[in-house]
Amino acid sequence: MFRTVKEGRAQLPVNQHLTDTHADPEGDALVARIADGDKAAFAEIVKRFSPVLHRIAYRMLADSTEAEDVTQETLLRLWGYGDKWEQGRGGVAAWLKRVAINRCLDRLRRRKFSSDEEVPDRIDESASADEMMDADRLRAATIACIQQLSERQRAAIVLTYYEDMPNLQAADVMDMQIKAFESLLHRARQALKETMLATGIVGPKEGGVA
Amino acid sequence: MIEPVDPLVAKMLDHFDVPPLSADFAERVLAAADARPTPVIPPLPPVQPARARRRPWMRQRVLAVGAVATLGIASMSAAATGLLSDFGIEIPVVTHFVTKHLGIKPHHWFRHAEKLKKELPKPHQEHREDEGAARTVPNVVTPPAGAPAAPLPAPLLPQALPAPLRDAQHGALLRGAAHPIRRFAPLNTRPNVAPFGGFGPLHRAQHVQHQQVLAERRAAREAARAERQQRVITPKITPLPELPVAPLTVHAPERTPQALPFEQPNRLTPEQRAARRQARLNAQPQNGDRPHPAEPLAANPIRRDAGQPTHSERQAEQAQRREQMRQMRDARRQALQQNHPHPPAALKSPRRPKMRRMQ
Repeated sequence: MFRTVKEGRAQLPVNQHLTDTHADPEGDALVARIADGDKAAFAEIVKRFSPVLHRIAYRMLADSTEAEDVTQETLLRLWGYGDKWEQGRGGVAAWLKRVAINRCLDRLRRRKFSSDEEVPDRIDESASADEMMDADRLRAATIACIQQLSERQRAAIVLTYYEDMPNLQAADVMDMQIKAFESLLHRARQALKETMLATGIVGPKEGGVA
Repeated sequence: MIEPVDPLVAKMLDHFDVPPLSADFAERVLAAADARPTPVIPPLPPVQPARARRRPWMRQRVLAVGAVATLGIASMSAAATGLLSDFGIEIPVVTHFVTKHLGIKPHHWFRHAEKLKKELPKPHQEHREDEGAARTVPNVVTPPAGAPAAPLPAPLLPQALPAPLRDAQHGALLRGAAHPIRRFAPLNTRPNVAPFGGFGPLHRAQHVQHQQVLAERRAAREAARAERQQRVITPKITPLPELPVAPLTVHAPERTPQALPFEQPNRLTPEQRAARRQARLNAQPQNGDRPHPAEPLAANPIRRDAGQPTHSERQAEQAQRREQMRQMRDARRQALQQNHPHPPAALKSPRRPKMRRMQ
Protein backbone atom coordinates (compact mmCIF):
# COMPACT_ATOMS: atom_id res chain seq x y z
CA MET A 1 0.00 0.00 0.00
CA PHE A 2 2.82 2.37 0.88
CA ARG A 3 5.71 2.87 -1.38
CA THR A 4 8.97 2.47 0.35
CA VAL A 5 11.94 4.75 0.00
CA LYS A 6 14.93 3.01 -1.42
CA GLU A 7 17.37 5.62 -0.23
CA GLY A 8 17.66 6.12 3.45
CA ARG A 9 18.49 4.35 6.59
CA ALA A 10 15.44 2.16 6.67
CA GLN A 11 12.67 1.28 4.33
CA LEU A 12 9.78 3.30 5.63
CA PRO A 13 6.51 4.04 3.92
CA VAL A 14 6.23 7.25 2.00
CA ASN A 15 5.27 10.09 4.33
CA GLN A 16 5.50 7.89 7.36
CA HIS A 17 5.08 10.88 9.64
CA LEU A 18 1.81 11.62 7.93
CA THR A 19 0.36 8.22 8.61
CA ASP A 20 1.46 8.41 12.21
CA THR A 21 -0.05 11.83 12.87
CA HIS A 22 -3.30 11.28 10.96
CA ALA A 23 -4.39 8.11 12.61
CA ASP A 24 -8.15 7.69 12.73
CA PRO A 25 -9.18 5.68 15.78
CA GLU A 26 -12.88 6.10 15.04
CA GLY A 27 -12.47 4.88 11.49
CA ASP A 28 -10.32 1.99 12.71
CA ALA A 29 -13.09 0.98 15.10
CA LEU A 30 -15.63 1.04 12.28
CA VAL A 31 -13.43 -1.07 10.08
CA ALA A 32 -12.94 -3.49 12.95
CA ARG A 33 -16.68 -3.84 13.22
CA ILE A 34 -16.91 -4.32 9.46
CA ALA A 35 -14.37 -7.10 9.75
CA ASP A 36 -16.75 -8.82 12.16
CA GLY A 37 -19.56 -8.49 9.61
CA ASP A 38 -21.33 -5.51 11.21
CA LYS A 39 -23.49 -4.04 8.47
CA ALA A 40 -24.43 -1.05 10.60
CA ALA A 41 -20.80 -0.02 10.65
CA PHE A 42 -20.60 -0.43 6.90
CA ALA A 43 -23.75 1.68 6.51
CA GLU A 44 -22.10 4.35 8.64
CA ILE A 45 -19.04 4.28 6.39
CA VAL A 46 -21.20 4.54 3.31
CA LYS A 47 -23.13 7.45 4.74
CA ARG A 48 -19.99 9.29 5.81
CA PHE A 49 -17.69 8.82 2.83
CA SER A 50 -19.87 8.23 -0.22
CA PRO A 51 -20.33 11.98 -1.02
CA VAL A 52 -16.60 12.64 -0.92
CA LEU A 53 -15.80 9.62 -3.04
CA HIS A 54 -18.52 10.57 -5.49
CA ARG A 55 -17.20 14.09 -5.86
CA ILE A 56 -13.68 12.88 -6.52
CA ALA A 57 -14.87 10.29 -9.00
CA TYR A 58 -17.15 12.66 -10.81
CA ARG A 59 -14.54 15.37 -11.21
CA MET A 60 -12.04 12.80 -12.38
CA LEU A 61 -14.32 11.03 -14.83
CA ALA A 62 -16.92 13.74 -15.62
CA ASP A 63 -19.56 11.07 -15.75
CA SER A 64 -22.20 10.56 -13.07
CA THR A 65 -22.82 6.89 -13.71
CA GLU A 66 -19.16 5.97 -13.71
CA ALA A 67 -18.61 8.07 -10.64
CA GLU A 68 -21.29 6.16 -8.77
CA ASP A 69 -19.79 2.89 -9.95
CA VAL A 70 -16.37 3.89 -8.71
CA THR A 71 -17.81 4.98 -5.39
CA GLN A 72 -19.66 1.71 -4.97
CA GLU A 73 -16.62 -0.36 -5.90
CA THR A 74 -14.50 1.57 -3.46
CA LEU A 75 -16.89 1.03 -0.58
CA LEU A 76 -17.35 -2.64 -1.38
CA ARG A 77 -13.62 -3.03 -1.47
CA LEU A 78 -13.54 -1.88 2.11
CA TRP A 79 -16.29 -4.37 2.94
CA GLY A 80 -14.11 -7.23 1.76
CA TYR A 81 -10.91 -5.72 3.14
CA GLY A 82 -11.92 -5.51 6.79
CA ASP A 83 -10.03 -8.58 7.95
CA LYS A 84 -6.77 -7.29 6.43
CA TRP A 85 -7.05 -3.81 7.88
CA GLU A 86 -4.07 -2.49 9.81
CA GLN A 87 -4.93 0.14 12.36
CA GLY A 88 -3.02 3.40 12.59
CA ARG A 89 -2.08 3.56 8.95
CA GLY A 90 -3.53 6.96 7.97
CA GLY A 91 -7.22 6.47 8.53
CA VAL A 92 -10.14 5.21 6.53
CA ALA A 93 -10.68 8.45 4.60
CA ALA A 94 -7.21 8.48 3.07
CA TRP A 95 -7.47 4.80 2.23
CA LEU A 96 -10.87 5.27 0.50
CA LYS A 97 -9.66 8.31 -1.46
CA ARG A 98 -6.56 6.41 -2.58
CA VAL A 99 -8.64 3.50 -3.79
CA ALA A 100 -11.05 5.82 -5.57
CA ILE A 101 -8.26 7.75 -7.30
CA ASN A 102 -6.66 4.50 -8.46
CA ARG A 103 -10.00 3.25 -9.82
CA CYS A 104 -10.52 6.50 -11.66
CA LEU A 105 -7.04 6.38 -13.15
CA ASP A 106 -7.66 2.83 -14.30
CA ARG A 107 -10.92 3.86 -15.95
CA LEU A 108 -9.35 6.86 -17.62
CA ARG A 109 -6.53 4.75 -19.04
CA ARG A 110 -8.98 2.11 -20.16
CA ARG A 111 -11.17 4.76 -21.74
CA LYS A 112 -8.22 6.25 -23.59
CA PHE A 113 -7.30 2.93 -25.20
CA SER A 114 -10.85 1.70 -25.86
CA SER A 115 -12.47 4.88 -27.17
CA ASP A 116 -12.89 5.25 -30.90
CA GLU A 117 -12.93 9.00 -30.74
CA GLU A 118 -9.68 10.86 -30.91
CA VAL A 119 -8.86 12.92 -27.92
CA PRO A 120 -8.72 16.48 -29.20
CA ASP A 121 -5.54 18.34 -28.51
CA ARG A 122 -7.45 21.54 -28.20
CA ILE A 123 -10.98 22.18 -27.20
CA ASP A 124 -13.35 22.94 -30.00
CA GLU A 125 -13.34 26.66 -30.35
CA SER A 126 -16.18 26.75 -32.78
CA ALA A 127 -18.71 27.56 -30.12
CA SER A 128 -19.42 31.21 -30.00
CA ALA A 129 -18.95 33.24 -26.89
CA ASP A 130 -22.56 34.18 -26.88
CA GLU A 131 -23.65 30.62 -26.46
CA MET A 132 -21.43 30.14 -23.45
CA MET A 133 -22.63 32.93 -21.37
CA ASP A 134 -24.72 30.93 -19.04
CA ALA A 135 -23.51 28.68 -16.20
CA ASP A 136 -23.87 25.51 -18.12
CA ARG A 137 -21.62 26.92 -20.76
CA LEU A 138 -18.98 27.83 -18.23
CA ARG A 139 -19.29 24.47 -16.52
CA ALA A 140 -18.89 22.61 -19.75
CA ALA A 141 -15.92 24.75 -20.65
CA THR A 142 -14.31 24.11 -17.31
CA ILE A 143 -14.88 20.39 -17.60
CA ALA A 144 -13.41 20.50 -21.07
CA CYS A 145 -10.34 22.31 -19.78
CA ILE A 146 -9.89 19.82 -16.98
CA GLN A 147 -10.30 16.98 -19.40
CA GLN A 148 -7.30 18.27 -21.28
CA LEU A 149 -5.07 17.56 -18.34
CA SER A 150 -3.41 14.23 -17.86
CA GLU A 151 -4.87 11.76 -15.40
CA ARG A 152 -2.44 12.49 -12.61
CA GLN A 153 -2.56 16.24 -13.12
CA ARG A 154 -6.31 16.01 -12.96
CA ALA A 155 -6.13 14.04 -9.75
CA ALA A 156 -3.76 16.60 -8.24
CA ILE A 157 -6.14 19.45 -9.06
CA VAL A 158 -9.17 17.56 -7.77
CA LEU A 159 -7.55 16.63 -4.47
CA THR A 160 -5.91 19.95 -3.68
CA TYR A 161 -8.45 22.42 -5.01
CA TYR A 162 -11.81 20.72 -4.77
CA GLU A 163 -11.19 18.50 -1.76
CA ASP A 164 -8.97 21.12 -0.13
CA MET A 165 -6.40 18.57 0.91
CA PRO A 166 -2.92 19.63 1.97
CA ASN A 167 -0.17 18.74 -0.45
CA LEU A 168 1.25 16.22 1.97
CA GLN A 169 -1.99 14.29 2.31
CA ALA A 170 -2.67 14.54 -1.41
CA ALA A 171 0.78 13.15 -2.13
CA ASP A 172 0.11 10.31 0.28
CA VAL A 173 -3.19 9.56 -1.40
CA MET A 174 -1.50 9.49 -4.78
CA ASP A 175 1.35 7.46 -3.35
CA MET A 176 3.99 10.01 -4.32
CA GLN A 177 6.81 11.88 -2.71
CA ILE A 178 5.88 15.41 -1.64
CA LYS A 179 8.38 17.04 -3.97
CA ALA A 180 7.17 15.04 -6.92
CA PHE A 181 3.58 15.87 -6.09
CA GLU A 182 4.30 19.59 -5.82
CA SER A 183 6.02 19.48 -9.17
CA LEU A 184 3.07 17.65 -10.62
CA LEU A 185 0.64 20.15 -9.12
CA HIS A 186 2.61 23.09 -10.49
CA ARG A 187 2.60 21.66 -13.99
CA ALA A 188 -1.12 20.90 -13.69
CA ARG A 189 -1.93 24.48 -12.76
CA GLN A 190 0.22 25.86 -15.56
CA ALA A 191 -1.37 23.55 -18.08
CA LEU A 192 -4.87 24.40 -16.86
CA LYS A 193 -4.22 28.13 -17.13
CA GLU A 194 -2.79 27.78 -20.60
CA THR A 195 -5.76 25.71 -21.65
CA MET A 196 -8.22 28.27 -20.29
CA LEU A 197 -6.33 31.08 -21.98
CA ALA A 198 -6.28 29.17 -25.19
CA THR A 199 -9.97 28.45 -24.89
CA GLY A 200 -10.73 32.04 -24.22
CA ILE A 201 -12.77 31.56 -21.14
CA VAL A 202 -10.07 33.43 -19.28
CA GLY A 203 -8.55 36.42 -20.98
CA PRO A 204 -5.07 37.73 -20.35
CA LYS A 205 -6.50 41.09 -19.51
CA GLU A 206 -8.78 39.68 -16.91
CA GLY A 207 -6.39 37.27 -15.41
CA GLY A 208 -3.38 39.48 -15.61
CA VAL A 209 -1.25 36.54 -16.24
CA ALA A 210 0.07 34.73 -19.24
CA MET B 1 6.38 26.62 -2.09
CA ILE B 2 4.26 26.74 -5.17
CA GLU B 3 2.28 29.75 -6.09
CA PRO B 4 -1.42 29.76 -5.27
CA VAL B 5 -4.12 29.19 -7.85
CA ASP B 6 -4.91 32.11 -10.03
CA PRO B 7 -8.18 33.71 -8.86
CA LEU B 8 -9.74 33.72 -12.32
CA VAL B 9 -8.76 30.09 -12.82
CA ALA B 10 -10.19 29.33 -9.42
CA LYS B 11 -13.34 31.19 -10.33
CA MET B 12 -13.69 29.09 -13.46
CA LEU B 13 -12.97 25.92 -11.53
CA ASP B 14 -15.79 26.76 -9.17
CA HIS B 15 -18.22 26.31 -12.02
CA PHE B 16 -17.43 22.56 -11.94
CA ASP B 17 -20.10 21.51 -9.46
CA VAL B 18 -21.00 17.90 -8.77
CA PRO B 19 -24.52 16.53 -9.05
CA PRO B 20 -25.83 14.78 -5.96
CA LEU B 21 -25.77 11.04 -5.59
CA SER B 22 -28.82 9.13 -6.49
CA ALA B 23 -31.30 8.67 -3.68
CA ASP B 24 -30.99 4.91 -3.48
CA PHE B 25 -27.18 4.84 -3.71
CA ALA B 26 -26.73 3.76 -0.11
CA GLU B 27 -29.32 1.03 -0.42
CA ARG B 28 -27.71 -0.26 -3.58
CA VAL B 29 -24.30 -0.38 -1.95
CA LEU B 30 -25.66 -2.20 1.08
CA ALA B 31 -27.51 -4.62 -1.12
CA ALA B 32 -24.32 -5.31 -3.05
CA ALA B 33 -22.54 -5.86 0.23
CA ASP B 34 -25.24 -8.34 1.25
CA ALA B 35 -24.79 -10.19 -2.00
CA ARG B 36 -21.16 -10.63 -1.30
CA PRO B 37 -20.04 -13.17 1.26
CA THR B 38 -19.72 -11.81 4.73
CA PRO B 39 -16.09 -11.04 5.50
CA VAL B 40 -15.98 -13.24 8.50
CA ILE B 41 -12.62 -14.22 9.81
CA PRO B 42 -12.19 -17.92 9.31
CA PRO B 43 -12.54 -19.77 12.55
CA LEU B 44 -9.42 -20.71 14.30
CA PRO B 45 -8.45 -24.34 14.33
CA PRO B 46 -9.71 -26.21 17.34
CA VAL B 47 -7.45 -26.03 20.27
CA GLN B 48 -5.64 -29.23 20.86
CA PRO B 49 -6.26 -30.59 24.31
CA ALA B 50 -3.32 -30.38 26.60
CA ARG B 51 -1.34 -33.52 26.97
CA ALA B 52 -2.55 -35.41 29.92
CA ARG B 53 -0.14 -35.71 32.78
CA ARG B 54 1.55 -38.99 33.19
CA ARG B 55 -0.12 -41.24 35.60
CA PRO B 56 1.92 -42.84 38.39
CA TRP B 57 1.35 -46.29 36.99
CA MET B 58 2.85 -45.19 33.68
CA ARG B 59 5.93 -43.96 35.45
CA GLN B 60 6.20 -47.23 37.36
CA ARG B 61 5.85 -49.18 34.15
CA VAL B 62 8.69 -47.24 32.61
CA LEU B 63 10.84 -47.92 35.65
CA ALA B 64 10.01 -51.61 35.59
CA VAL B 65 10.79 -51.95 31.92
CA GLY B 66 14.05 -50.08 32.40
CA ALA B 67 15.06 -52.28 35.32
CA VAL B 68 14.34 -55.47 33.39
CA ALA B 69 16.22 -54.21 30.36
CA THR B 70 19.20 -53.21 32.48
CA LEU B 71 19.25 -56.57 34.23
CA GLY B 72 19.03 -58.38 30.93
CA ILE B 73 21.87 -56.43 29.42
CA ALA B 74 24.01 -56.99 32.51
CA SER B 75 23.32 -60.71 32.49
CA MET B 76 24.14 -60.98 28.83
CA SER B 77 27.37 -59.14 29.37
CA ALA B 78 28.26 -61.36 32.29
CA ALA B 79 27.53 -64.49 30.31
CA ALA B 80 29.50 -63.26 27.33
CA THR B 81 32.60 -62.08 29.11
CA GLY B 82 32.62 -63.99 32.35
CA LEU B 83 34.12 -60.97 34.00
CA LEU B 84 31.68 -60.71 36.85
CA SER B 85 32.23 -64.30 37.81
CA ASP B 86 35.85 -63.48 38.51
CA PHE B 87 34.64 -61.17 41.25
CA GLY B 88 32.11 -63.59 42.56
CA ILE B 89 29.14 -61.50 41.52
CA GLU B 90 26.19 -63.71 40.76
CA ILE B 91 23.65 -62.39 38.33
CA PRO B 92 20.57 -64.45 37.68
CA VAL B 93 20.62 -65.49 34.08
CA VAL B 94 17.46 -66.09 32.17
CA THR B 95 18.44 -69.71 31.72
CA HIS B 96 18.33 -70.30 35.45
CA PHE B 97 14.90 -68.83 35.68
CA VAL B 98 13.65 -70.87 32.77
CA THR B 99 15.07 -74.13 34.01
CA LYS B 100 14.01 -73.68 37.63
CA HIS B 101 10.60 -72.11 37.46
CA LEU B 102 9.22 -73.18 34.11
CA GLY B 103 10.35 -76.75 34.32
CA ILE B 104 12.07 -76.86 30.97
CA LYS B 105 14.80 -79.45 30.67
CA PRO B 106 18.05 -77.70 29.84
CA HIS B 107 20.54 -78.85 27.32
CA HIS B 108 22.93 -81.56 28.37
CA TRP B 109 25.80 -79.11 28.01
CA PHE B 110 24.21 -76.88 30.56
CA ARG B 111 23.66 -79.77 32.91
CA HIS B 112 27.27 -80.77 32.55
CA ALA B 113 28.35 -77.23 33.26
CA GLU B 114 26.22 -77.10 36.36
CA LYS B 115 27.77 -80.29 37.54
CA LEU B 116 31.26 -78.94 37.00
CA LYS B 117 30.36 -75.77 38.76
CA LYS B 118 29.17 -77.61 41.83
CA GLU B 119 32.34 -79.65 41.94
CA LEU B 120 34.55 -76.60 41.78
CA PRO B 121 35.70 -75.06 45.03
CA LYS B 122 34.52 -71.61 45.98
CA PRO B 123 37.71 -69.62 46.23
CA HIS B 124 36.07 -66.33 46.94
CA GLN B 125 34.15 -67.76 49.86
CA GLU B 126 37.38 -69.13 51.32
CA HIS B 127 38.91 -65.73 50.88
CA ARG B 128 36.16 -64.14 52.77
CA GLU B 129 36.52 -66.65 55.61
CA ASP B 130 40.27 -65.99 55.76
CA GLU B 131 39.70 -62.30 55.82
CA GLY B 132 37.14 -62.64 58.56
CA ALA B 133 39.50 -64.72 60.65
CA ALA B 134 42.28 -62.27 60.07
CA ARG B 135 40.17 -59.42 61.34
CA THR B 136 39.73 -61.10 64.70
CA VAL B 137 43.48 -61.52 65.16
CA PRO B 138 45.36 -58.44 66.33
CA ASN B 139 47.89 -57.12 63.92
CA VAL B 140 50.82 -57.05 66.33
CA VAL B 141 51.40 -59.72 68.96
CA THR B 142 54.13 -58.98 71.45
CA PRO B 143 55.87 -62.22 72.47
CA PRO B 144 56.73 -62.60 76.11
CA ALA B 145 60.26 -61.82 77.14
CA GLY B 146 62.61 -64.74 76.83
CA ALA B 147 60.24 -66.80 74.73
CA PRO B 148 61.77 -68.66 71.81
CA ALA B 149 61.22 -67.16 68.42
CA ALA B 150 58.23 -68.68 66.73
CA PRO B 151 58.80 -70.03 63.24
CA LEU B 152 57.64 -67.79 60.44
CA PRO B 153 54.66 -68.96 58.51
CA ALA B 154 55.26 -70.56 55.18
CA PRO B 155 55.34 -68.11 52.26
CA LEU B 156 52.19 -67.90 50.24
CA LEU B 157 53.02 -69.44 46.91
CA PRO B 158 51.11 -68.52 43.77
CA GLN B 159 50.10 -72.15 43.31
CA ALA B 160 48.43 -72.03 46.69
CA LEU B 161 46.17 -69.15 45.73
CA PRO B 162 42.69 -70.04 44.52
CA ALA B 163 42.69 -70.01 40.75
CA PRO B 164 39.90 -68.18 39.02
CA LEU B 165 37.56 -69.92 36.76
CA ARG B 166 39.48 -71.57 34.00
CA ASP B 167 38.65 -70.85 30.41
CA ALA B 168 37.88 -74.47 29.79
CA GLN B 169 35.39 -74.46 32.63
CA HIS B 170 33.91 -71.22 31.44
CA GLY B 171 33.52 -72.60 27.94
CA ALA B 172 31.85 -75.66 29.40
CA LEU B 173 29.38 -73.40 31.17
CA LEU B 174 28.66 -71.59 27.97
CA ARG B 175 28.25 -74.79 26.04
CA GLY B 176 25.86 -76.09 28.66
CA ALA B 177 23.23 -73.45 27.97
CA ALA B 178 19.65 -74.57 27.25
CA HIS B 179 19.80 -73.24 23.73
CA PRO B 180 22.72 -73.36 21.29
CA ILE B 181 25.07 -70.44 21.53
CA ARG B 182 26.81 -69.12 18.51
CA ARG B 183 30.50 -69.52 18.43
CA PHE B 184 32.47 -66.36 18.74
CA ALA B 185 36.05 -65.47 19.09
CA PRO B 186 37.21 -65.49 22.67
CA LEU B 187 37.65 -62.01 24.00
CA ASN B 188 40.42 -62.98 26.36
CA THR B 189 43.09 -64.66 24.28
CA ARG B 190 45.62 -64.72 27.08
CA PRO B 191 44.86 -67.57 29.45
CA ASN B 192 44.99 -67.15 33.15
CA VAL B 193 45.35 -63.41 33.08
CA ALA B 194 44.42 -61.38 36.07
CA PRO B 195 41.35 -59.14 35.70
CA PHE B 196 43.22 -55.87 35.84
CA GLY B 197 46.44 -56.79 34.08
CA GLY B 198 49.45 -58.70 35.23
CA PHE B 199 49.96 -62.43 35.31
CA GLY B 200 47.98 -64.98 37.11
CA PRO B 201 49.69 -67.54 39.34
CA LEU B 202 49.51 -70.33 36.78
CA HIS B 203 50.76 -68.13 34.01
CA ARG B 204 53.52 -66.85 36.23
CA ALA B 205 54.71 -70.41 36.94
CA GLN B 206 54.60 -71.25 33.27
CA HIS B 207 56.52 -68.12 32.55
CA VAL B 208 59.24 -69.03 35.04
CA GLN B 209 59.47 -72.51 33.63
CA HIS B 210 59.69 -71.16 30.13
CA GLN B 211 62.44 -68.78 31.14
CA GLN B 212 64.39 -71.65 32.65
CA VAL B 213 64.07 -73.64 29.45
CA LEU B 214 65.26 -70.66 27.45
CA ALA B 215 68.24 -70.17 29.78
CA GLU B 216 69.21 -73.83 29.38
CA ARG B 217 69.03 -73.58 25.63
CA ARG B 218 71.04 -70.38 25.66
CA ALA B 219 73.74 -72.02 27.82
CA ALA B 220 73.87 -75.01 25.46
CA ARG B 221 74.35 -72.72 22.50
CA GLU B 222 77.11 -70.81 24.24
CA ALA B 223 78.91 -74.05 25.10
CA ALA B 224 78.67 -75.29 21.54
CA ARG B 225 80.06 -72.02 20.21
CA ALA B 226 83.01 -72.12 22.64
CA GLU B 227 83.73 -75.71 21.66
CA ARG B 228 83.79 -74.76 18.00
CA GLN B 229 86.20 -71.92 18.67
CA GLN B 230 88.58 -74.13 20.62
CA ARG B 231 88.63 -76.88 18.05
CA VAL B 232 92.18 -77.32 16.47
CA ILE B 233 92.53 -78.02 12.78
CA THR B 234 94.73 -81.05 12.35
CA PRO B 235 96.75 -81.18 9.08
CA LYS B 236 95.92 -84.05 6.85
CA ILE B 237 99.36 -84.02 5.11
CA THR B 238 101.79 -86.54 6.43
CA PRO B 239 105.03 -84.90 7.55
CA LEU B 240 108.15 -85.51 5.43
CA PRO B 241 111.14 -87.25 6.97
CA GLU B 242 113.80 -84.92 8.21
CA LEU B 243 116.88 -84.64 5.93
CA PRO B 244 120.44 -83.96 7.18
CA VAL B 245 121.25 -80.31 6.71
CA ALA B 246 124.87 -79.43 5.84
CA PRO B 247 126.37 -76.36 7.58
CA LEU B 248 126.40 -73.29 5.39
CA THR B 249 129.77 -71.68 4.58
CA VAL B 250 130.04 -68.03 3.65
CA HIS B 251 132.63 -67.06 1.01
CA ALA B 252 133.85 -63.51 0.73
CA PRO B 253 133.43 -62.18 -2.86
CA GLU B 254 136.37 -60.96 -4.86
CA ARG B 255 136.24 -57.19 -4.72
CA THR B 256 138.57 -56.19 -7.59
CA PRO B 257 137.86 -53.63 -10.30
CA GLN B 258 138.67 -56.19 -12.99
CA ALA B 259 136.25 -58.74 -11.59
CA LEU B 260 133.34 -56.27 -11.50
CA PRO B 261 133.61 -54.22 -14.66
CA PHE B 262 129.85 -53.34 -14.78
CA GLU B 263 129.20 -52.66 -11.14
CA GLN B 264 127.25 -49.60 -10.21
CA PRO B 265 129.19 -46.62 -8.77
CA ASN B 266 127.50 -46.94 -5.41
CA ARG B 267 128.71 -50.47 -5.25
CA LEU B 268 132.30 -49.59 -6.07
CA THR B 269 134.92 -50.50 -3.58
CA PRO B 270 136.99 -47.72 -2.10
CA GLU B 271 139.95 -48.79 -4.23
CA GLN B 272 137.90 -48.55 -7.42
CA ARG B 273 136.60 -45.12 -6.47
CA ALA B 274 140.14 -43.90 -5.77
CA ALA B 275 141.38 -45.26 -9.14
CA ARG B 276 138.51 -43.52 -11.01
CA ARG B 277 139.13 -40.26 -9.27
CA GLN B 278 142.82 -40.44 -10.24
CA ALA B 279 141.96 -41.22 -13.85
CA ARG B 280 139.63 -38.18 -14.04
CA LEU B 281 142.31 -35.96 -12.59
CA ASN B 282 144.76 -37.15 -15.18
CA ALA B 283 142.33 -36.57 -18.03
CA GLN B 284 141.56 -32.94 -17.04
CA PRO B 285 143.84 -30.20 -18.48
CA GLN B 286 146.21 -28.31 -16.30
CA ASN B 287 145.40 -24.92 -14.87
CA GLY B 288 147.77 -23.13 -17.30
CA ASP B 289 146.10 -24.73 -20.32
CA ARG B 290 142.57 -23.58 -19.37
CA PRO B 291 141.35 -20.71 -21.59
CA HIS B 292 140.48 -17.47 -19.99
CA PRO B 293 136.77 -17.10 -19.68
CA ALA B 294 136.94 -13.45 -20.95
CA GLU B 295 138.83 -14.42 -24.10
CA PRO B 296 136.87 -15.55 -27.17
CA LEU B 297 137.21 -19.20 -27.94
CA ALA B 298 138.04 -18.70 -31.63
CA ALA B 299 138.33 -15.96 -34.17
CA ASN B 300 136.30 -17.90 -36.70
CA PRO B 301 133.02 -16.34 -37.70
CA ILE B 302 130.06 -17.76 -35.93
CA ARG B 303 128.28 -20.35 -38.01
CA ARG B 304 124.81 -21.42 -37.64
CA ASP B 305 125.72 -25.06 -37.18
CA ALA B 306 128.74 -24.40 -35.09
CA GLY B 307 129.53 -27.29 -32.82
CA GLN B 308 127.38 -29.69 -34.88
CA PRO B 309 128.88 -32.58 -36.86
CA THR B 310 128.84 -32.22 -40.55
CA HIS B 311 127.01 -34.51 -42.87
CA SER B 312 130.09 -36.47 -43.81
CA GLU B 313 131.01 -36.86 -40.15
CA ARG B 314 127.54 -38.22 -39.33
CA GLN B 315 127.74 -40.64 -42.22
CA ALA B 316 131.12 -41.81 -41.06
CA GLU B 317 129.84 -42.25 -37.54
CA GLN B 318 126.80 -44.23 -38.75
CA ALA B 319 129.01 -46.40 -40.90
CA GLN B 320 131.27 -47.04 -37.93
CA ARG B 321 128.24 -47.94 -35.79
CA ARG B 322 126.93 -50.29 -38.46
CA GLU B 323 130.31 -51.93 -38.60
CA GLN B 324 130.31 -52.40 -34.84
CA MET B 325 126.80 -53.86 -34.93
CA ARG B 326 127.79 -56.23 -37.69
CA GLN B 327 130.85 -57.40 -35.72
CA MET B 328 128.75 -57.94 -32.59
CA ARG B 329 126.13 -59.88 -34.57
CA ASP B 330 128.78 -62.10 -36.03
CA ALA B 331 130.35 -62.71 -32.64
CA ARG B 332 126.95 -63.59 -31.14
CA ARG B 333 126.19 -65.93 -33.96
CA GLN B 334 129.54 -67.64 -33.48
CA ALA B 335 128.93 -67.93 -29.78
CA LEU B 336 125.55 -69.51 -30.40
CA GLN B 337 127.09 -71.86 -32.85
CA GLN B 338 129.64 -72.92 -30.27
CA ASN B 339 126.73 -73.48 -27.85
CA HIS B 340 128.10 -71.11 -25.41
CA PRO B 341 125.46 -70.55 -22.71
CA HIS B 342 126.89 -67.34 -21.44
CA PRO B 343 128.48 -65.18 -24.12
CA PRO B 344 131.23 -62.95 -22.92
CA ALA B 345 130.42 -59.45 -21.97
CA ALA B 346 132.28 -58.12 -24.96
CA LEU B 347 129.73 -59.79 -27.23
CA LYS B 348 126.82 -57.96 -25.64
CA SER B 349 125.33 -55.18 -27.70
CA PRO B 350 126.47 -51.82 -26.45
CA ARG B 351 124.11 -49.21 -25.19
CA ARG B 352 122.33 -47.34 -27.85
CA PRO B 353 123.55 -43.75 -27.78
CA LYS B 354 120.97 -41.10 -27.06
CA MET B 355 119.63 -39.12 -29.92
CA ARG B 356 121.19 -35.75 -30.16
CA ARG B 357 118.84 -32.89 -29.82
CA MET B 358 118.59 -30.79 -32.88
CA GLN B 359 119.35 -27.15 -32.21
